[in-house]
Amino acid sequence: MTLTPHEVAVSHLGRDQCAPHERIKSLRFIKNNIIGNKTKKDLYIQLGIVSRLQDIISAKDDKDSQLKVQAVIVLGSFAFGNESNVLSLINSGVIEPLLNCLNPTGDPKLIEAAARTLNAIYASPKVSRQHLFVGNHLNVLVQLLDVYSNYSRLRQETGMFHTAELVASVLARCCERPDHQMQIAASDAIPLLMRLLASGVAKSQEAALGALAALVKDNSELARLIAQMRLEKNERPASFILRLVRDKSPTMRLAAATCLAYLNRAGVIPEHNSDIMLTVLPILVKMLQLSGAVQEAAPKVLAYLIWESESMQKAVCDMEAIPKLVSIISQMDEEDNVYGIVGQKDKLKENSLLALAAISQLKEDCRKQVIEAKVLPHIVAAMSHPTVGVRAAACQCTRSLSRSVKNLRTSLVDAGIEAPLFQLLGDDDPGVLSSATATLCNIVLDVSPMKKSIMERGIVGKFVQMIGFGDNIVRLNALWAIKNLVFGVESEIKETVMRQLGYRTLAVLLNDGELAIQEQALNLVRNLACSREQDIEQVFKGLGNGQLLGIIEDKLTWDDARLLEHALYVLVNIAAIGTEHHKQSIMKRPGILRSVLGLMSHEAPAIRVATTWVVINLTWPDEKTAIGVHSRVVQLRNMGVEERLQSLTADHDLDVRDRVKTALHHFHLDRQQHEHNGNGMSDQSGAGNGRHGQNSRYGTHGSTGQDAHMAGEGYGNTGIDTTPVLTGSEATGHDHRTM
Amino acid sequence: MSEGALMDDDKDNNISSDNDNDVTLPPRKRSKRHSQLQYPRQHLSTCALHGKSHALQKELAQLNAYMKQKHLKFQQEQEKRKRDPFSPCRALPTKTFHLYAGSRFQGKQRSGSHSYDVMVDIKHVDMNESFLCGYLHIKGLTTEYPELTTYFEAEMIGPKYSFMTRKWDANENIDKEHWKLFKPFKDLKNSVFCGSDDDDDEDDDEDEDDDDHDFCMHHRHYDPRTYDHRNESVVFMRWKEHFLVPDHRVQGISGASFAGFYYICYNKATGSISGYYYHQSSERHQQLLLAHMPNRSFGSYEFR
Repeated sequence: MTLTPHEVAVSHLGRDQCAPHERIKSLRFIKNNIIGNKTKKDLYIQLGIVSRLQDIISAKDDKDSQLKVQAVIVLGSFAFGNESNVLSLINSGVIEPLLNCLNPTGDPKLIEAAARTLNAIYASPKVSRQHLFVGNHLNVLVQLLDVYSNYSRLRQETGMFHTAELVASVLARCCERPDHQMQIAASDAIPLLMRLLASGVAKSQEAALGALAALVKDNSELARLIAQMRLEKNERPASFILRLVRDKSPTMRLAAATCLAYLNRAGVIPEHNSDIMLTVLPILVKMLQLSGAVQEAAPKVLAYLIWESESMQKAVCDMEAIPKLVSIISQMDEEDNVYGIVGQKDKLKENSLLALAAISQLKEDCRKQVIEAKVLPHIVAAMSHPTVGVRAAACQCTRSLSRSVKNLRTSLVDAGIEAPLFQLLGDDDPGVLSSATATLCNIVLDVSPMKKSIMERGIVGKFVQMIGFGDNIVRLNALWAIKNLVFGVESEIKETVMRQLGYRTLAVLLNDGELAIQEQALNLVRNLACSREQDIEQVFKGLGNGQLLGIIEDKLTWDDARLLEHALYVLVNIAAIGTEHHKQSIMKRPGILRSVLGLMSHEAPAIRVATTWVVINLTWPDEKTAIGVHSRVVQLRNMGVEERLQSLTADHDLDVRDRVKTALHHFHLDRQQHEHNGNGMSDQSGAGNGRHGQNSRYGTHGSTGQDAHMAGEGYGNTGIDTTPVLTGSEATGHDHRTM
Repeated sequence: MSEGALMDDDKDNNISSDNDNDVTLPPRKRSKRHSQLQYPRQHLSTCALHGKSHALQKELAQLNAYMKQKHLKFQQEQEKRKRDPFSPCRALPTKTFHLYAGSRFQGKQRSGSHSYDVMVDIKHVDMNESFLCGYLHIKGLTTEYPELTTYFEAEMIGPKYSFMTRKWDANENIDKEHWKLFKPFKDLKNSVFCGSDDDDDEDDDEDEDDDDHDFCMHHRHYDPRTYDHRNESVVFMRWKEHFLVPDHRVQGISGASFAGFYYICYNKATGSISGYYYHQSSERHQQLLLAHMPNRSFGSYEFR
């Protein structure tokens, strides 16, 4: 049996068989063979080379550092650009000995080689970062960033910079978890990275930017810390980085823009808002027309930067980013069709879709531009893409675009998003599932023609399942969707939905550990108990004896505007169209009434409006239940509600003032009636009925038309607003003509 | 919508915005006024005691551990949310006076001697964007379609949209002619349209009760940089119909057209809406008069 030269080379690596120089020679032979050759790499791995290499680099004696250097370089070659090889290295346990090679007193060549190999290994997101954070490894690694230390003076400067760049890159790749970010910060890496940033050595600056960006990403604490540091001449890092955004090298520009994008999203550099708008955004948009790694990363950075900012989305729109992104996506689809290659540039496609989703998230004008760019067929096709990231990003796009009544009625129907969207509900990937369910929240709205057919596919049952078993984001979306679905629908649909969800589940959701879930559950109650007396009765019955108001009473003590608003509107609805019994059960809860009174001075006008509506509806003059109304007025007056209303007549919010007038009018009416006539409700709402008689088939009870009438009267009387308004005369004239 | 041939929707829809309303909504902190975490009630009383009994200390330790565990879980959740930079931004619904999703208006449109029943269904309102949209139902316009429904969008005059239409075949004179038909516009007129004089008051033929005096009392200076419908008691709008509902693909309906648009004046106090339809080749000053349909219960939805 003869051995191949490769087998010979591997066998030479064994510790005892050969002299060190022979082993080095074999390593060089292997190195030259495997560079850029995947087949050879696989062959050597099968020959068991990894454990041999590991033995070499784990050796305690530092005499043959030359041998170690070669072994580390060969390991690096295996790791470079091949994830499955990386995993074989990891399984053999090479990380620990590689980290040990970083000892700063050791051979600089070995340190550099080890840093390079670690960097290649950490390129794979599947590799655990844990080793680095155990023992002293992180501190040792961070010291290597110090290019001006005593150690480095003894060495070649260029080599030091090189090593520091690799280390910065390793650190950047170990920042996925917030606790890791914090540990790196605690190891004093930041000042050293700052010095590297200011070093003037281009590649080192880029590496430092990469590490700083990774540290501040989604970490407002570190972002604030870094934004407040000082460089030479007292300069803040952000203004220094802003200069690098204009660098001639595209990779430098990208690194700088990325770092600024993260700092900006963290809200720690407000003083640079206009720089971001005027400098960073156009530079990122221009990058869309480059190629390679810069083009690939730019749309994601752009998406990240503008995600929450309407003005930035508009600005990017004005910079013609949409046609650029659309041409990237449509060109890729054409290439796929021609060559049948799927997957080569998935990341670019995913990021471009994400950028479109970001641009069209908040502004209808921007959504319109995306639709007009005719990219929708590509987005819909991408919803069934084999790569999860692309599917999720495509779904983000449809979600953004579906935040529009117009699109729901037209382009999204035409593009046929319903079927692929429904398909995605079976997706295994949590990211895809969460963006698909989020999109469905909009698709199930009443204005969407797709609502009916997607309900026929059994969407409600799916939502109910997800609320039971999904992760928190999916649960939230599914509940959100149900809430949207029952908005403004007939009692029948409400009942069908609640038969599937169950009131018991609803009660649990109302007390969920997640505030966001509670908010949606409460909003669902608000939508259920709306429009018809029987709907209110259903909710009272469904939640069980006294439970509903008990829940509302509790929610009114929370300090969350959204929760408070929904809780108040549940009361508004009950008081508006509930039975006399329902209204009385509110009055029997002093806790609720006290909270309402207290919230009448809440800082948010929307809350003050809601509280006033509660009072308006509880005191609504109604001849059928005159005694009940009177007793409610008296009870509220005794509590000080009327007094509080008086204090709101000068509220700075127009809507509050106007509602307050109506409420006060109710107290006034009651006083009039009960001063002149013990129980006289005789002359009350007849006029209103007559004047707006045509409305009564849509209106509620006998109160039709009073709303407008009384409000108008109040408006004219107080004269708070000097603007002339169309009041009684116009309304009367109008009635005259229309009837 | 008006009588006449259906024309192509105007594409010149220049929307300009200098309205900068960044809505940044970080994940809400969970905070309850009294206690953030719910734990068994009896623990509350034990906290106040100073007893050193072993049982009590054990119980307190348990409580402590319970709270810590709850807190940790809560923090992790928050962390998870905080760290998804691409989670949907909130698009909180707005509700001002009678303008909110689900609100309805009812009335008539007059065209010459004819009069048609009209119902308007508001579907979405975004005051910050000076935008609303909804359906406009009109009855009896053609025999083929006893009831026609269109989708329309509104531009509210304010920080985002000016009184000058500059599209839809409307020039400054057309704008002036129409806005002047609204009484509340009178005190703005002189400052909106430079050089406008009261001598062309004869155009006010549509105003039946002409008690001008009330309105001339307080001429105000209109400043386009500060004029905001949110601070006004009336909201001027333009309503533009875009397509038919339910089938947006239907292109032409003989005898009806929605190629023009409405000049609108909504009164916050009364909830009434008046409007005038304008289209180059349609009868002038067809009047829309709507009253808010009383409603005292309010659901809400939110785009995700």
